[in-house]
Amino acid sequence: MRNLILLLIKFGALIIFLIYEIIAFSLIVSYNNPQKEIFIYSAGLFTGFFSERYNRAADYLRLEEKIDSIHLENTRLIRQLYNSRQNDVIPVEFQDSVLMQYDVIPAKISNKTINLRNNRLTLSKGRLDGISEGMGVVSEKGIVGIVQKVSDHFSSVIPLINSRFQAGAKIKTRNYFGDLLWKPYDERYIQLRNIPKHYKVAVGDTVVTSGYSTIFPPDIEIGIIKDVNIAGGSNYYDLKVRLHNNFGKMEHVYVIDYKYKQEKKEVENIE
Amino acid sequence: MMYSIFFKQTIRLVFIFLLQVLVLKRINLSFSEFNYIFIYIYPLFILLLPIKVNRILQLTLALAIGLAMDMFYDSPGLHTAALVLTAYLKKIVLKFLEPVEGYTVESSLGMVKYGFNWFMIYSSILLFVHLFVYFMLEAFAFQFILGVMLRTVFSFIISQLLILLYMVLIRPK
Repeated sequence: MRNLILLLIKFGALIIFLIYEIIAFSLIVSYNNPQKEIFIYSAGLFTGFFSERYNRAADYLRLEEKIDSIHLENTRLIRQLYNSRQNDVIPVEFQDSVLMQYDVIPAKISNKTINLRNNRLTLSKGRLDGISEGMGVVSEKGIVGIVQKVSDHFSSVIPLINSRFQAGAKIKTRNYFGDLLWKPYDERYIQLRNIPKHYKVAVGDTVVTSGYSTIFPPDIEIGIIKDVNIAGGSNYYDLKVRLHNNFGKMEHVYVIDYKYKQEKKEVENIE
Repeated sequence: MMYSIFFKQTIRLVFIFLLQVLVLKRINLSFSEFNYIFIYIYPLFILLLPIKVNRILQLTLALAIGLAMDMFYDSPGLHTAALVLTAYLKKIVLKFLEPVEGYTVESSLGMVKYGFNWFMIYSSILLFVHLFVYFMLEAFAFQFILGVMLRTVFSFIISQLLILLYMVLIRPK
């Protein structure tokens, strides 16, 4: 209280001055038409400016939420896409869960390395979310890797950019089949081997998954051919493929659960 | 003593006020395109108020006079805002212009006590600021700054001349 009185004694004139000016100002802008119009217009500009800034900031804060919803939406679309490729004779609305060959589980990358010989990804979803060993992992742009180990809440993925990664791939439209192999340290490129050199291959051809394995559905894009080479004395091409995926930036991925995996494996191991 | 200050100031207030609203308001010095001259001498009352008068009282008087002016000039708040600002700046300007021997707190701040030059500088600064703020608020936008400056300068010259005339003729102590 004493401080308040001291403050009033010290700044009393200033406070009174400000109060009087506010009174005068409110009189000006409420009873003089030109001033009133200018004031309303400027206030509109001013508040407009701030509300726009505020909206942008708020948008930014809601970004996470939006990304999550887009992630879920993508999951739904990818699931529909993969299943429609398999069941393209049956209209989508009649495809019930029995016909769903592929289930898609959204996941986030919680840890990754990209500059080692044997890189790793860790996903923040595990067995409890339906992930198990051997499932394929893709992003919107292409394949990412294969789940190697699963705990209750996490799973460890061998990405394309790991020297132990193995998967088949083919060149889209030409259907030549080969093997993917990563040579260390450049996370942008992967090699496509074992395509015989009497086939015609051109720079710019798209490389997609073959669909022969139980891991990835067919025709998921991987990258485009950047360089065509034949090693001396070899019968096979050594193709350099530019990956669509940017492993450095990637955050959201989708794990693919192939429902008939067991069945297919059993029938293939018949002898 | 107190009574005499109160009495003198009241007489002056009434006189200046009536002079402003009955005489000066009717003087129209603008012709065709050239409407830059307006005579305002009423800030003189605030300028002459002795230092002894409480600052908050001075501000309140400025508010009251400003509101009364606005009633006559039909411009709610314009004169009030300018005059309250002038009253507030008065002390600051006085501090800068303080003579070597200091101020006498009870007498009016006229030229009898402090000399022509002192009063000239003192009243010019505050009158100019007052007029500038007034015309600025009247325009209420920076686009009209040229017109505002012209009005301020022309009105200032005429008003200042009248104030000096008043000081010479009436010689308030």
